[in-house]
Amino acid sequence: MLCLGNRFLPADDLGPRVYDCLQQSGAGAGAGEKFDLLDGGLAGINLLGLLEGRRRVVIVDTVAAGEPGRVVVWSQERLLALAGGYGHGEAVPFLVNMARRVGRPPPAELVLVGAAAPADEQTVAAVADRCREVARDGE
Amino acid sequence: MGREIQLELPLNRAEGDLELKVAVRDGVIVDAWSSGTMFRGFELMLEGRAPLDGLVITPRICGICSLTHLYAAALALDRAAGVEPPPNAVRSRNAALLTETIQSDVRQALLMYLVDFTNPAFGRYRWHQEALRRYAPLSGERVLAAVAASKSLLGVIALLGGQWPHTSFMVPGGVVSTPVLTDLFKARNLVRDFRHWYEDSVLGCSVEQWLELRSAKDLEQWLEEEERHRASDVGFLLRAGREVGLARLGVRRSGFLSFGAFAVPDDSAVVAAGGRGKKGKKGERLLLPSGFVAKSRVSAFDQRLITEDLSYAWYDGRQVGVHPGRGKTHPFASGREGDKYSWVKAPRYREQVAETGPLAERLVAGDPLFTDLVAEQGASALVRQLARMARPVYLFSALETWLDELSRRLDEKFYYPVKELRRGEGVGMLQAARGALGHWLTIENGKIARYQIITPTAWNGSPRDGRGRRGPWEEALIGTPVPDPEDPVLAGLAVRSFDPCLVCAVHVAGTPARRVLRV
Repeated sequence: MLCLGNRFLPADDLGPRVYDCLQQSGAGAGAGEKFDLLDGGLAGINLLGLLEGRRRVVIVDTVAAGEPGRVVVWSQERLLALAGGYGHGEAVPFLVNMARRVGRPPPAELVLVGAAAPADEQTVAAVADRCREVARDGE
Repeated sequence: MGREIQLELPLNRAEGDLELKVAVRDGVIVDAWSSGTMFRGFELMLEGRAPLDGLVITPRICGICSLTHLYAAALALDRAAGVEPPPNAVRSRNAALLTETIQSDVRQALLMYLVDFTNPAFGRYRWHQEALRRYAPLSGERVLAAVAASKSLLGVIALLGGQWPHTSFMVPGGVVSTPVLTDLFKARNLVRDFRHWYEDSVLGCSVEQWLELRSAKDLEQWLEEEERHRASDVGFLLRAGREVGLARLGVRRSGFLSFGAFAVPDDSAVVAAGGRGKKGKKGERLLLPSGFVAKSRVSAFDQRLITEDLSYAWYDGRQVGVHPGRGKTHPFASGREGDKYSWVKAPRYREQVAETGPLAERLVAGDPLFTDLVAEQGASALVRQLARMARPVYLFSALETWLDELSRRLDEKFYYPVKELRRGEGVGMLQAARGALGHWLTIENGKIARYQIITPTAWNGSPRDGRGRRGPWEEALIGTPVPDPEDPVLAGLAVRSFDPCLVCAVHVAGTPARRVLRV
């Protein structure tokens, strides 16, 4: 479970806040669950190594779609189609494309769970719950 | 004479927030203003903090050259503490920085620069299909290979320092991460594999063969004599670049600056600039020498000749001629400053405009190939980009040698203890991937009293100074054709040959301006 974003910008802080929420509630491999919980920040293409060889990847990020408060789940295909190229602001679609094309091996499944900004506490909790479900059961 | 139009060209595919305003008349750029549009405040953040905080905070200025900032911060602290780290620390720091630089050059070329040749504006050229096959953003063969290769190479930094970006292993006195033998073997293998890929694919020949080229004529012959030379990424740059006029774009003639980098320990087999025994500034032997080139003459570097000019930048304070060791950062923009147009301060060396980066490194080193190329065509976008793509050639041997030396000397020290820093001054200057980087630090009463940073893009993307002289890429843009104002691809090729990084140049903040056109 890879949480992305910038905790200092309300327009982009969903990922880090979901990370905090999940970590506090005792999630991740350290707590005996079967997934690694990672805070990927703004590292973009440099996260490629973390996606390789995974059975299932859940990316958590702010999305520019839907009304704030609504949990959004996007498939890998949808993310692949969003990519323009290498550059600021296009990091997730580019990363997902590179993981598919260059990853050794690419992640078997990949899903994005997110919501539009700004995210209130309820939304963060709802996204965190959905993430756990998807991590456990798939898309 | 035609009507003059003004275009705003926000540059994506440059790190950070850069806007270019250009005046175009009769389809040609006649003037340019380069603006860093975001202020971030790093220098101010550091004031009043504990002396070592710069090690953690300054690498966050940038996600591409974070290790360079770490190294500069550590050097400044070494000097403030009066300590010279042990040779193994120097080897380890150098190996990490060499790795960061090499992967940056490859990513810049294959992910950010050559993609411009896929522009539909170049559809009529016979290499256009080839460009699409190689450099199309998501599917290009070379793009995918570059992502894979650079990702692998970065493993060297993870082995030496724990992570990348935002590595933390350098401290005053040395490094705090001691590799074991197997780490060094792995690192050595990663470098060797990368070098083979680079020679086969990016350069098209061995490093040794490239080093035999000593003139523009040699380069011409090299390009003609073998298909694999023409088929490499460097070969593609030369072929396609020439046809679109890259040898006449982005030209500058004088003012090239290198702070020098990669101190060579006394007992190392790595050959320092000028050969063994030659001393650079402060008696250091450097792999890349420091110096300044003006009107084809190389002069020794003196950091006291660096000043920052605020005449056209949104800061309060004395306008001109302040040395960074005494300068302050007081952002000030009320909207009524008239002529001011950038959050980047204007650095000058010996009161001259200076360009910095891989080409400047070659010229300061007296490299015969690049000296001849610049004598022939000026410092054009083509020569500048070629210098970047070829730079790993000049770095691999040192990287491999230092890793080997570390593996044979693991019992030697990596760190000398430093007592608590209550007061002191120090400067850390070196070469980042984009050029000269300096950190000026003053510690008083156990806290940072002043921290000034001048980054390579501050030099290259500088606004005008009090004498009205344009910064390097403002000057370089003059004369660039803009046949289609909706798609100024040649302007993009000219400016991107400098590898702009605005996240570094403005470690100060603002609001993004209106986007009119995308380059």
